[in-house]
Amino acid sequence: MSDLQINRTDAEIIALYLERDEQAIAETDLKYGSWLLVVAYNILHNYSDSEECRNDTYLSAWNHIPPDQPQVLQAYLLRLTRNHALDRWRLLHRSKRISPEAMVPLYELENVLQDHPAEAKMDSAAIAEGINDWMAAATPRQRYIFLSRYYCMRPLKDIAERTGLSVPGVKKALAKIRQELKERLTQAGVSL
Amino acid sequence: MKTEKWMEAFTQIKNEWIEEFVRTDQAAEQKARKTGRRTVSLGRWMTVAMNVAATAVVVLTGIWLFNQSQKLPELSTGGVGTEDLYPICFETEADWVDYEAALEKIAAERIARNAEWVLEDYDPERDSAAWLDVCLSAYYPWTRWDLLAIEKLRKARSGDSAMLPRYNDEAFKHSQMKWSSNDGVRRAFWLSMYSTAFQSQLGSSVRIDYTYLEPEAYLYPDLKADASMPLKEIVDTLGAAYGKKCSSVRVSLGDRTVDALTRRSGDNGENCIYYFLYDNVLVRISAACGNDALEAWMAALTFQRK
Repeated sequence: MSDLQINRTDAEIIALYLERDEQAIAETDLKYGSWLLVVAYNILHNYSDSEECRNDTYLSAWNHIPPDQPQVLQAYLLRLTRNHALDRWRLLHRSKRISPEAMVPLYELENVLQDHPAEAKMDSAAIAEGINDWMAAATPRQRYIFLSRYYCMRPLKDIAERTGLSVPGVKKALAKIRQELKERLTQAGVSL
Repeated sequence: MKTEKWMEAFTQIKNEWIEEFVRTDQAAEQKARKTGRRTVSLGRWMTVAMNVAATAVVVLTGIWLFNQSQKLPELSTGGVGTEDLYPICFETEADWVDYEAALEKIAAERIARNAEWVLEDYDPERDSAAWLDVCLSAYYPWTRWDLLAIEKLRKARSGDSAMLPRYNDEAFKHSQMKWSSNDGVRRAFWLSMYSTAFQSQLGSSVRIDYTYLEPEAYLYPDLKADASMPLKEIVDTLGAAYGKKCSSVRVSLGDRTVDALTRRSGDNGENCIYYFLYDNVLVRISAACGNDALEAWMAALTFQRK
């Protein structure tokens, strides 16, 4: 195995996958390993499980590239890690072995979808459509805060550090986002 | 219900938003690092203070535990609640012998049964490497804990009172750590310790009922999922040489030797899952460093395959 290069571009790493060069996984780990670990950890709140999710991500990436040729490797890996973490969350949740801290951000969205009449749309595809519509109308900053909190389940403090806001400032921004999203989903007739 | 709906909905967010997010995140992280320097000094002092406090707690706890270990344990006559499990002890030499013998017997049987089972059933033309991984993963923890328990008991019998198998001893704490990812191990260990406590508190001779520990319990759900991993090829032969450090871990596959790419380790570095690449197949191997039984088993497998 040749030496790891910390400055490899995503295109170079993807090329390694396409060439079936085992260096690809080591390079992925070097460049994105700790970031992916945090992604999984924010969902599971357990170090061992998060580490396993990260390794499962490498396995999935190895098995799917090719045929997949991701445009943005980090986004591709994020999706994989998140999916593995959610699968594990479901498993742990069923057996009641999940940390109570896990998924706290999603509980904030409880009131965005109201319990509603039979004619309301209930499927997740309708909710996703509503989210995507709202995203298109939102500012980049709103999108970043929204995805940080509800897609990556980041703690408020992390979001504050990254956005330069205070924690109350992030809370306020999230409250506004939730309100806007609720209005959009209500208009589209989406509820539970 | 709602949480599940949200989770599903978020998986369908358009890729362009995710891509935008990671780009923004890279920039935000760099910016946060730069602005975060001002708080490093305070953070360092806080870390130092916390370390000092933690060390003090550890030292005081150690002194307290040492003092406790010098006292004769008092057996509870009440129910067998959690508090009653501490401290666990055996009343007679015969109890120790019985317990050790029981553990050794079950470990020996398990080794033989599993090795036989795997060697008989493993068909490289039919079974994937993932299946082999399941066998290995399913097999090792039980023996590991048996051997650990035996070792601790031997030390305890030799007069090292600190090694008494207490409810809250190191091994049990370790098994608790494994709880999140390894239901089976903890349950088995817990049952054996609980059973021991129960028996000793009743003052009867030690007898452990291992009928709890059926093979099905080995295959906990996350390992079952691994069995369906789309691995395309089969690893011909496996042999292992374990080092204490990750960097020194390598596996011999046929006439080749490959280094571990990465691993997931246990808290004390003893229970590890290693990832290797062999002919474009990513192989996951569970191993326990220093577990002679596992190494012997793997060597036997290698020999058999040759």
